[in-house]
Amino acid sequence: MNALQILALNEVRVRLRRLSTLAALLAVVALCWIAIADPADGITMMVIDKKRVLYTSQALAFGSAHVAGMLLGLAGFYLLRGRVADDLQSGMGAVIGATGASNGLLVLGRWLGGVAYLMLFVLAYLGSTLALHALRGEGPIQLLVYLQTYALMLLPIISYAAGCAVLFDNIGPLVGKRGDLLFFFLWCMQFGALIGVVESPDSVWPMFFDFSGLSVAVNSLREHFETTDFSLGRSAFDPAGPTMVIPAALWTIKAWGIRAATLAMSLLLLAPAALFFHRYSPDRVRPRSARGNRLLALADRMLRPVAIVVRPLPGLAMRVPGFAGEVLAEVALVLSMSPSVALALAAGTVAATVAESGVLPGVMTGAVAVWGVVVCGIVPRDWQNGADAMTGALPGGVVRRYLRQWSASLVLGLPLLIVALRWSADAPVRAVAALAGVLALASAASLLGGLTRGSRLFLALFLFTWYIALNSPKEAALDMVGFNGAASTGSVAAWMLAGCLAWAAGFAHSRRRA
Amino acid sequence: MLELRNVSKTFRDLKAVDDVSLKLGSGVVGLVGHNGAGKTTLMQLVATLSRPTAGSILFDGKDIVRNPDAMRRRLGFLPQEFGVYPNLTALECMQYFAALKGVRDPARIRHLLELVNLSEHARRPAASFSGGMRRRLGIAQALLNDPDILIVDEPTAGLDPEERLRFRRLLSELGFGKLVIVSTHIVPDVESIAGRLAIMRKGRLLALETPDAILQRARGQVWQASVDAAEYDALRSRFHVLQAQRQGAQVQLRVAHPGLPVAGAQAVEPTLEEALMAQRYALSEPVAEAA
Repeated sequence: MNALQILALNEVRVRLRRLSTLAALLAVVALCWIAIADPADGITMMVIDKKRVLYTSQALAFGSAHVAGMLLGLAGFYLLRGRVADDLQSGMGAVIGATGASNGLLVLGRWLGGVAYLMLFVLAYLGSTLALHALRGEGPIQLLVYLQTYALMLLPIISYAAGCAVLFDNIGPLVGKRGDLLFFFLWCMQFGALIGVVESPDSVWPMFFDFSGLSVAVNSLREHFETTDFSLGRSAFDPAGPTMVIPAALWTIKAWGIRAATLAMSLLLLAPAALFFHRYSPDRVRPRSARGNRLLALADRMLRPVAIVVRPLPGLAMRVPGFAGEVLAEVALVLSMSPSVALALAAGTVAATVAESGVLPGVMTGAVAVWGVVVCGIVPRDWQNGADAMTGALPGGVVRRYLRQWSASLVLGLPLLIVALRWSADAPVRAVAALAGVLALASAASLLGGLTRGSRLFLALFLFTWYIALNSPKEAALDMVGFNGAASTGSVAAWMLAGCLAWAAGFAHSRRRA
Repeated sequence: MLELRNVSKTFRDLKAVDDVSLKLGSGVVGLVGHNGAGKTTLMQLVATLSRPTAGSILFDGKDIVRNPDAMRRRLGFLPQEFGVYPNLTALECMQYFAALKGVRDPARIRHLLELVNLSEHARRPAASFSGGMRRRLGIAQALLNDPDILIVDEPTAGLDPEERLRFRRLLSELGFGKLVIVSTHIVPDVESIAGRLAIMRKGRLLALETPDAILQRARGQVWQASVDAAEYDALRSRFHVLQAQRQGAQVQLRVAHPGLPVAGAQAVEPTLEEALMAQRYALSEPVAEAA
């Protein structure tokens, strides 16, 4: 094997043996089964012009490739991210930086390994789709159709996610959470291309910048069916109504050309990644423990009034007896480490308390996003800062730490709980949905943080679900904290059950580690 | 082989390395100094991880600040914090670094794993290794490209005495034909293996000397005495006490001082650590001279 192959193989190996890979694979398979609904239940994956699209190879390939692209385009980035942080933390970064390996080789190896790793998810997704085709399909399995569609739709987005992961890891200021958030915004922004194509049918340029391929797909469907009334995901349909079939030869030369150009553009990311690679120079990038100080100092300066308010909290926690004091200490630690979180918590609490009831869904939508980003870092924090053994040796050990950190997540969700309280009088189901969602998300964050010793898997799944939920306002199951007002008793029970299972799994995991 | 010319490195207000110049050939060089003396920063500069704020670093006459690859191809580096990827075996770790260093020969990996006594553990996850085994794996990766310069930072931190001895012997043997720079603040680590000591304090290079020269200068400055416990308290503030051991009502002292510190004190043969202390080399702040 040559150096490039070994580097790429190493990238795959390092990630493949992580527990987060297994969790993500299970999530991918679960998503596939949820997305390709059984039409016998009155729900289908794809509707065009109010007509159900029959589950042929092209339809299933089309729909599943897009759902997989949405997920892997976002979660793939977070799964690939963090290699530089790992290298810095372990000290390997200095060794790698001091080798003669060129920037180009390192960048290419990491990108190639990232693409190969994400291709494993594509294979898992394809396998699940084929299994569902065998169960629910309405036509023969045409493997070539699947492969064509998957290549057309998924290669550019996977290449883009891997390219961004390498680029963001290689530029010092983007190594941490700032890079994570920036990518999420970039991921959301590409859907602007879809709007551009829908509103201006003749415009081609936006499609080049749409790595997800949605705009190309919508354009192809429009050319065939002369409509822009599409629905992808889980949609109800009239079983007695007409159906339609997507032709096997859906993709035109133009579509292939655009996707090839988009793929080529994703490769351009590797040039700045190699050019600006920090090579682990301590002048440009530092381990997490050392990196935080400057940002914290800057935030402290900017948020001095907030920091003053937060300062008495650790002292107060010392005086509060028992478990409550420990939880308060945990909350105090989160707020002291990041005064901006304290500011967000204060602003969220005020907004949740005084906002008009009509604005509360908006408050909830924003507050849950911020809260999710904050709480995903609580459980892995000790491990990432080398304090895992110390806090694990405190009275109550690892199990008590799990309970303490999970409880702190709930306390930090104060704005969400206030909104739930205000909903409880007029919309009790919505209020319970909010409570169930907060419990489930806090438990999932604790579980995944403990299993993977990182925050990114939860962050990826959470942000993906949040974004999809925002765009599916009528889907009860996706109304995670009641912000869409679509939650039903059944969906609330499902979230509650999922939360209980996640909590129990997290608890069992902490007991096993104890 | 390696030459530093007026090298400085500044982090904002802090001068971590201050106008250091030295020339080094093959052999083991001990880089010693107190915590924060600038040892790690100096090693990072030589390892091309960091660029000096001023000055130049030449390796075989080539400026490695401008052309870092000239150094990297011939460098082996083991940083103080050498962790391992939690999911890779020792063999896979070595294969990874071999790829990075352009080493194509699998026999080289086997040879090095044997050299550091890890061949039996090659297929074990490196994360399950003890601290000593990880350090040995670290030195094996550093030697993959048969480097001309080997830089090791605090190589024995956290090792048990047996591992420490083994490590010292290995470094000593490597120094027969290469330049081995060993940074440490544990003087006994380099006492028996270093041909020369580069001594740093507050970013400056104070001396580059053989251990014998340092010992020779300290002779007659290290004293041993036995004093009352009450007397010891008074002496402690006046003299640079290197060692104190209570024995009943008496305290057995070793003191660094240019002249006879107390009546009855006897001049003794200093250890290298005491010699450095006597010459204020190992202190971050010079001790006030005795009244």
